[in-house]
Amino acid sequence: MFTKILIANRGEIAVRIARACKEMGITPVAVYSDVDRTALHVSHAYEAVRIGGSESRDSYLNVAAVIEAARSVGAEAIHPGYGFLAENAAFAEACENAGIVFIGPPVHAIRVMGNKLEARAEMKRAGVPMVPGSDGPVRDAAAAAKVAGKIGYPVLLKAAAGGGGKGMRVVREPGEFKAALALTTGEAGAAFGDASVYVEKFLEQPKHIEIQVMADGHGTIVTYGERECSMQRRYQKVIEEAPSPIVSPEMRAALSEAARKAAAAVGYRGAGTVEFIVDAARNFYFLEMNTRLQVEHPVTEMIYGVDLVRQQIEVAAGGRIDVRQKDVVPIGHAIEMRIYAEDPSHGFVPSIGKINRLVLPQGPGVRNENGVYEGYEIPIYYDPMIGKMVVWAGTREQAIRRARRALREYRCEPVRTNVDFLLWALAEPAFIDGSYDTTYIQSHFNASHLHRRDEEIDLACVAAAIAAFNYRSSVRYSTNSDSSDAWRRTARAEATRRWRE
Amino acid sequence: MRFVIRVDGQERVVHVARQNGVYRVDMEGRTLTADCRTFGDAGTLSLLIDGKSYLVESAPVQPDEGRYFARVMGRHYDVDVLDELQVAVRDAEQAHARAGNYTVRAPMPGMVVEVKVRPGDAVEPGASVVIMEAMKMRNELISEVGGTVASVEIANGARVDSQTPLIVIERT
Repeated sequence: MFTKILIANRGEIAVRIARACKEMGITPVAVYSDVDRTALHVSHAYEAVRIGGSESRDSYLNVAAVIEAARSVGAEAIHPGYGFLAENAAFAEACENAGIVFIGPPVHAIRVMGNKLEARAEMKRAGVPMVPGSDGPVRDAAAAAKVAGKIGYPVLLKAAAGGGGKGMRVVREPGEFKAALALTTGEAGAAFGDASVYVEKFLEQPKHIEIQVMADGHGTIVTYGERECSMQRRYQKVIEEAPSPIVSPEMRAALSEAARKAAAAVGYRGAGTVEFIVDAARNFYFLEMNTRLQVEHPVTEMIYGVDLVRQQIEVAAGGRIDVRQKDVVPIGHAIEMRIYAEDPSHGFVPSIGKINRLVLPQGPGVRNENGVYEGYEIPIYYDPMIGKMVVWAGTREQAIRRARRALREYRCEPVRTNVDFLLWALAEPAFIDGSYDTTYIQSHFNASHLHRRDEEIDLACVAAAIAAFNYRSSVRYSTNSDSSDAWRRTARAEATRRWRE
Repeated sequence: MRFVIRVDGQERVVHVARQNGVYRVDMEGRTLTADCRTFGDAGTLSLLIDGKSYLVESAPVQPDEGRYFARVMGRHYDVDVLDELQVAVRDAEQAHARAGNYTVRAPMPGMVVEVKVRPGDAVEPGASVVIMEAMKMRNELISEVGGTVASVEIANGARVDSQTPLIVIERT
């Protein structure tokens, strides 16, 4: 087993990995950018190395700096977390060349799954159900229209190297291909350095369901059921749950078998996730494989009683998985809510600044994976997700009630968070009955839907009136604000003339 | 003290007095007696009203401007607590602002990804006018007023600081 692991990440996931290391008797080493010297993950590690400037490309995306940091402290392995370098094949290769274990899959698996066309070809050979589409890149509009004619409209033009909802476009009739192809290839070339584009059938209102796999590289692949991640806003998952409300034991077995084939086909090792899209008739199709630990891994941990980070580390150290598939049985229900520093009432604009007060929800079945603290200043350089809250309960209904109860305990002030938005989502009928799909938030959410209840408004008035009363009783109160601009000062002078004269 | 409170598009006149450690709040013809204690710091209030218990956050954001927030049952409210002077100032400011051009500003530092309007374009209230990337997220910036685009102050790809003017709109 390793004695020291360098964690090439920040925020809640770096804290999560450091915790697993400590429990295993391994020294966790943090890396940090300039602005992150005071970030939570640095204080959770036993050692910490500065790796560069605050911009991600100067620090957390800087392959040479991360490898050098690992060398300098004598770490035997690097855990990349998710995002940043986690799915970067060149980074995994650089680790290998430096004699450092990359806690993730083999380079080959990252490469194949990182290219949608290669992944499609490999999955087709392995017999994994695929969304119908072109076998390779399409060269021109005529070729694309030919494929579309065969599989039926609407279709999706997708960049082979794309991801995260970028580099794709819906085409609903043959006449649209020429313009759509030009745009998509242009974007793909600019954004991903690879202009190849392919065609696949566009599924309207699909569900997103994914299978957790864990492979030990000695021939054992275990699957830990599914997670449903259809609550998405602009292709970003917001709420994830396990098990899925629409997956039967038979469907779970079929999904798991497909995921196992996908992992086996690329010689997988470590933790990975095979994502599927599911149509209204509950047919499922391979979407992509994420060759890393997922943000939403805790919902799986909660219902299967497994520590996926610990297993990742054990497997990376050459260990065997001692879990038998027939013993992998889910208990209860788990829901994860991603907490973002953003303002849902104003177009989800990120909210930065200092957190003056932070109270995390507690009580039975509540788990916070948190990356911030009271007094912390949220920097502008990184993702605005400040943490995740996961709840577990015996049934789905109880889990939803628990999630709502816990969200109401969440206090993070004065920074705005999406807690109001999550409360909206968890009260939507389509969430409660489980019928929601990936388009639900886009087509149903409007800032005016954030519930405003008369009783709450009364209380807000009473509380703010008392706060103002106390403030004015304790502070020498002045209306001379110098924070305003010229027209405000003019307006103020005009308005107050009556009192001054 | 007498306040005009504006929240969620509503306006209320509220009187607050403190007697023997409890607050008497007169609001819209109702009188509430609130036993209020702070928890740990001044912004966390434990309220007992009519035997009901509430834990509420409320604190000044820009007290000189009368701007407060309240978080009730997990939900955030922006609350303006104004005295008569501030009401007069605020109304005068708004009249002034209504008369002039409206400026869409960057809410935070970031990069302009797409300017969606050109000078002379008509915009509806709530129309998306600029897409900005900040903290790895794309954000649509909207015009809160309707009118005609008078000028575009930045170009695609520009790096901007918080409060940089982006688009100026002449109200209709």
